[in-house]
Amino acid sequence: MQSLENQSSKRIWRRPTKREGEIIISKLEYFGEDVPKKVLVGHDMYVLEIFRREVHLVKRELSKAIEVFKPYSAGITFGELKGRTFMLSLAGGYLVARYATRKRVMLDKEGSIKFIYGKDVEGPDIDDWDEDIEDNDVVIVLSDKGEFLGFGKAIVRNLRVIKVENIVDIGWYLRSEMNEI
Amino acid sequence: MIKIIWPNPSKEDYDLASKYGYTPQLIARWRMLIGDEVKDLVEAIEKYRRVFIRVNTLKISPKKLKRRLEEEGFLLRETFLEYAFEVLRSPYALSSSKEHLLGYFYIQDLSSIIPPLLLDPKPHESILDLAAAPGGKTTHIAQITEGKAKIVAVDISRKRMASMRSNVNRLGISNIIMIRADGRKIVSYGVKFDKVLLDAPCTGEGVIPRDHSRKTIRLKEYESRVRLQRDLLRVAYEILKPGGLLVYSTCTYSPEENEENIKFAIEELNMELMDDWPIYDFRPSNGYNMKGVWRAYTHRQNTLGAFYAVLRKPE
Repeated sequence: MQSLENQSSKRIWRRPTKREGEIIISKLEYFGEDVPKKVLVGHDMYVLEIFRREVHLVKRELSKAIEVFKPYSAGITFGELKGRTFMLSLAGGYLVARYATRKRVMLDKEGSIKFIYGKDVEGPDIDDWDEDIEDNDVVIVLSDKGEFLGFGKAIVRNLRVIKVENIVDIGWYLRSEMNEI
Repeated sequence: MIKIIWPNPSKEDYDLASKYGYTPQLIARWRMLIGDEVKDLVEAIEKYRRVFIRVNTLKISPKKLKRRLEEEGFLLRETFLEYAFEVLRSPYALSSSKEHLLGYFYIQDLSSIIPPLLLDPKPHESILDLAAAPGGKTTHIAQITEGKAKIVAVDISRKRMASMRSNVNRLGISNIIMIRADGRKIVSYGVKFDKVLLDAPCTGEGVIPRDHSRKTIRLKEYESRVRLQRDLLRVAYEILKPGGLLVYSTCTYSPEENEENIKFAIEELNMELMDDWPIYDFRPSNGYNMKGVWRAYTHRQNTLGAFYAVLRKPE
């Protein structure tokens, strides 16, 4: 495994190992069999090791540039490998949601607004869901227009998704900027 | 030797400066550029509130976004560019709209939308953005090339690079490499590019409506900025392939940072000024004592202030 070490900032860029690749693919397949193929087409994955393992998705034509420049960041920050799991980022979630066919919950308009303010949603906020969702599943949360809002944890009772606990939502883009101020 | 003109202000300059909180010499410098229009410029700067958005056509069409935002109560007006709108009314903060959070648009003044258009980037070209963060122009380049150019973006600021990374992720762009470094060091990588955008760090006179601290710029700051800009122009020259294109832009009215730097690029670096380059329907003003370069003034173009020039490295 070739690593591209930038000594001054201890940032190591490398390709995922075979095991890491399997973990990532498995997570993508969780949302639909065809998701890996559709999301990854024309792209290469790179792992950036800092104090964590970030997975980046970069257009294939730029792979050589990563090897030359050992950059601060490259392409989309797709997610993070933690132990034997892979957690998609918001940018990764947006891509996956376009092709996902499983583990999705759709909210109504008010529910969508609540969710992107970092809140949990329940009851009338929830319009529809995929039937394969089980209790405590991580789900993709979609707006009333079918657009990616974030990830949640589904609470299921009697085959009904009664609540979605907010894990992360796109409102983070605004909240993180405000925290910097 | 860098010479900054630091004129003796007239009584009128002092009065105008005092009324609006400017360094008097800044008013005198502007009077040198535009004569008695200086009062119109200062008043236009004080009143400037325009907001523009650039639609991220990698994710949504301009027509669809306009409809979405208008359903939310925003009022949009078209500009000369089909994917840029002026926002005339906002029922709430534009940045907290779902559409912004989904990466459907980028809030960007019309004057800042111009430089990537001048660069005319093409798919599969290698493009360097030399002072890139927070990424408004870089992501525009990615959009123009439909995500198919090879874009390298450099900036020295940690905080602004973090913003850039967030913007690139929010807009969903996978063909940008971001390097946090002094742009002057990029030559050491030994890579050459088809095109370079140098939206140079400058004294920012043109963005006073956004940053009032620019009203009291000191002489020393002009000197250090010109030094840095010329260093970056040298880098741009080195890093371009023969025949490669450089777009040089700033957000200042200062002739030392604008026309004098173009003169430097022509005379010292042997670059060719592309003085017949199409500037779309933007209708900027001509340069100060120089043809083939352009200026945007707040009181004339009704945008933030800017300067643009297109140069080519000889074959």
